[in-house]
Amino acid sequence: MMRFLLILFLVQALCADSKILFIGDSLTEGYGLDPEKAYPAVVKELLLNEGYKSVTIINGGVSGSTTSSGLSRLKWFQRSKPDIVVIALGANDGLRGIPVQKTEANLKKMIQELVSWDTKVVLCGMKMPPNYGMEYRNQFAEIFPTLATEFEIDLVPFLLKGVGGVPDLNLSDGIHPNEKGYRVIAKTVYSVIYKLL
Amino acid sequence: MRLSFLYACRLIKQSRKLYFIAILNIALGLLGLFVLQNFKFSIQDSVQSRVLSLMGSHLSVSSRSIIPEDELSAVEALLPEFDKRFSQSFYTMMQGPKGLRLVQVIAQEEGYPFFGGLELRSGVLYPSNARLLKQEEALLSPELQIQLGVQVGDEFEIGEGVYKVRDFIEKDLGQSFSAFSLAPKVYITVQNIEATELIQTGSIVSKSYHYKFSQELSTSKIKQLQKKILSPGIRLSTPDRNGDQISRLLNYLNDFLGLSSLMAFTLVCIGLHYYYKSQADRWYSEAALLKYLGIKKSQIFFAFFFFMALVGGGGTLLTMLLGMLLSPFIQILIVPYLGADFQLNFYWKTPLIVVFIAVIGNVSLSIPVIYPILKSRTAAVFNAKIASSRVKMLSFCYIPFTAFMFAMAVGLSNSFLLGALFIGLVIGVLIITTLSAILFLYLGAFISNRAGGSAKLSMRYLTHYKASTITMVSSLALSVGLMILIPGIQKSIELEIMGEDVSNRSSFFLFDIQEEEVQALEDFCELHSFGLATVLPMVRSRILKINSNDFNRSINSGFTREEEFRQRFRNRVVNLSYGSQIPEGDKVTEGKWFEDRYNWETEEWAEISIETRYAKRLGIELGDRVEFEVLGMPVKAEVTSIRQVNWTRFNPNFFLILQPGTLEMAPKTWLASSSHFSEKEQIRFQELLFERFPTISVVNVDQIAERVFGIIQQMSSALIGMSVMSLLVAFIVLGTLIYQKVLMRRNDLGLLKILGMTEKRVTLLIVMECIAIAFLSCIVGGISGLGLVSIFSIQLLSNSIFPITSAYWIIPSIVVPFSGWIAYFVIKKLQHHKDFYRQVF
Repeated sequence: MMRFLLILFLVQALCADSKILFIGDSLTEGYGLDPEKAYPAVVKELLLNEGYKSVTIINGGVSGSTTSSGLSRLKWFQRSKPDIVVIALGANDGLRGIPVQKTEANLKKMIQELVSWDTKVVLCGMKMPPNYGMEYRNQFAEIFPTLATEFEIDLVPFLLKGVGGVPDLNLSDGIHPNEKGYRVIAKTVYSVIYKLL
Repeated sequence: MRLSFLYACRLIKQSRKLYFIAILNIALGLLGLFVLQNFKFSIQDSVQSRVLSLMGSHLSVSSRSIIPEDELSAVEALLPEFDKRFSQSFYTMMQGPKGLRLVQVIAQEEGYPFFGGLELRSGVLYPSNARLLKQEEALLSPELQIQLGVQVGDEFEIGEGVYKVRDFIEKDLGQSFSAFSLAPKVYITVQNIEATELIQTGSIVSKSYHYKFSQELSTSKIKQLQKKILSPGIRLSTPDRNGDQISRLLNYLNDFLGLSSLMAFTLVCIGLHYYYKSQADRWYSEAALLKYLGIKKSQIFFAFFFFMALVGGGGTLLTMLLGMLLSPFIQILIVPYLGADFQLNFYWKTPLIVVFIAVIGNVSLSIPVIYPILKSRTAAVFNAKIASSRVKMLSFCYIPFTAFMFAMAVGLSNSFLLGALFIGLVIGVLIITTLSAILFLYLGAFISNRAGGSAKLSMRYLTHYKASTITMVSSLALSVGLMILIPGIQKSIELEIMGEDVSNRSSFFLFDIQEEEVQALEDFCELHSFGLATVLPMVRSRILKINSNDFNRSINSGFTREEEFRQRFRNRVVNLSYGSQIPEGDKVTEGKWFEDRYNWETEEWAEISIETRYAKRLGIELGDRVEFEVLGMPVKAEVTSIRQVNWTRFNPNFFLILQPGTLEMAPKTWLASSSHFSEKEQIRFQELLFERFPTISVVNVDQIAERVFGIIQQMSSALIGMSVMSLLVAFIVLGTLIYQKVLMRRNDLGLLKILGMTEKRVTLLIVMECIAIAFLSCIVGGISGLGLVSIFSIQLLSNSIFPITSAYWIIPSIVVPFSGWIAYFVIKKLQHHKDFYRQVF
């Protein structure tokens, strides 16, 4: 009986319609590539391969965006009623040297808003390249686990894990991932998301 | 041949004074061309040196990733002998007494940049005139003094390295508007970059190799070099490929200088043609006599040809002489008006070009004069009056001259279209002025029957010598037309580039203003009395479909670099804006601007306005339907207007603007431009804004705009100089025309004197004739000139407003009295000549 109920539960889970919103910057949008090659679309592909029958992905990535625009963009997507919201913002804040306190405050507002929606939240961690200096890098990297702990939300420790700084996995600009790089990112994100479905 | 040459010399000997006047006319006219050409070359050099200053080298190979040794070697193998330097740059955080700030660190090898450099606050130009940086020294952008509170001599850290502020940068000659940086710069030596310990695996660092050659690379060589670069992300830059705004502007103005040279030359040709034509009467009988004496036609032809060559050659030689002698004085007179950056040089190619133009121009101009003379009849030997009435200028004889002028026009304006248009318009104006002169003669005949005294006699002479009057009016009217055209176009270019009020330009561009910050920013500006000029919403979107056809395509690995770039462009996110008002300075070229708000409940398609060149690039036309995706939501729009945007106005603008009511709900950021601030206000604004809105990006466009406008104003002064030169040429031609006219009339004047007319009355008669001709020419030429200004300015330069300048009324009000004065001066001078009234019979 127990086994039957477990199978029933799994089948229900696999057949349920899940809506995942990715809110991010150029890394999410798929800068320089077809949007179908960006990691949100690859995550969908991975989920479908795993047997999830109905997954809707909303790619809310906007190149160049910072955490400042996060809250207003969230409101635009509220009517789409996402089940999971993946926040992948902050890289541009860091690259532009925005004070970490400001970035942290913006992300906090977004998470608070999402908590009020009763939506599952995944926060993607970012790291700055070494040229930004140890002090700023450490302060910046600390934002994400701190917020994840504070709000008890899921965390992708580093979105570009295994991709950042690897020439083969990035476009010629050395910043944005290529198609291969996005597949690696998708796996990193998928490993956290699939537990929430 | 010898006989022909000797005959030509005899013709000159017979009328030495006339010859001298003719060569003086050519010389003064060509001197204008000489100076204008030298101007043009100096400006070309100035443009070139500015482009090199911006670029810093003749060639640079740069990349954010590793530049493979073999690719670099392959490139270097194709290069001529070179000087090479290395530089690296990266962004990092710099700690100062007032906090932490993003900076761009630029580490350069000693001796770079090869061209341009940094003007330091201490007044020296680095690296050419300053002591080289010591290992621990750094040069800083001035913003850092305000934002971080660092001073000269202070120590600061970049990574693990400790540096000392040696000086602040007053002006970065390598900074163009198109390449503004998002962070202030810190210059250090490349040898000391390791000390920062910031360049590690994963660091984003741009590396560049810079090359200097004895001469610039050809386009084909650059293409060859490009083929040697196989790794993606490696960028090859040359000055030609540097799409800098300043260079484009200077080239633009340079082409106008070419056109002005052409106008000056056209004026010379008018004078010369009139002179040759006035000589044709005498030559007709001379040719008939030679024929009668059994001289061959070819010998007669060469005799006159040599005569004209001697006139042209003499004039050209005199031009060279005057050009060389006057060059230092012209330099002293003109350069102070052009600013310290501009150097008016002497170029040896200038006299060569002037000689070439003078010879070919003279030869082609001689054909319509010599050809009818060769057709002279023996009867002309005995009757000069019959002879003069038979001199007909056949229009087909003008074909070589027209072809020559066309080639000149294309060459000097650097444009086939502009050259063709210029020649077409000159011919058009000539036809209009000729027709007007004919009409005037009919009216003149009518008036002469009713007027009395000198006016009647003047009018009678004008109507009697129809051909002469028509030629005089059309020549003078064309001269006036060109005189009006030059300042008209100059004003038009000023309007196009600078707008009507330069003092209204912005000091700062502000980006990434969030929706909730707009009101706060407006309040902040009001509180501190900072003006905000423009605040525009910006919505990111992606074009999905154009006329129901999918727009996005994937980038295949087989794409060439250019195809990949184009594809990236097509896939790129597009920025949309919306608003009810057309941006200032924009002009709707097709369709109409939005009249009402979009209602999504009742309308499916919103209206959209697209910038002309953007529409062309995407193949979008009026009435086409474009579908966008704004963060997952569809937005459909129909193109209802195509708009010309004045991008040189230093105001934020958008390629795509939607009807109000379409995007108000969409997530957006705002961008703004500030008013023009004084230097003190700029510092205060930056300090307060950075404190209150740290996430708003600010670009100080004032310094860059200052440079661009400075150059434009400098060029504008050059254009004024050019216009004055052309006007001087025009007045010289005007004087020559009148002089020739008076000389032609000497027989009539002698007769009048014999019949008892006083010298005073004779003078009055000539002055009235010339004033009448000048008056008519000013009316016809003035209207034609304004028409030309309108065609060049509104149609060609796409200016939205007709350029108005005081030159339009100043020129005619100078030409008419000047014509009277010159006639008075010439007649008085001739009256003093003892033979003047003797040549009646």
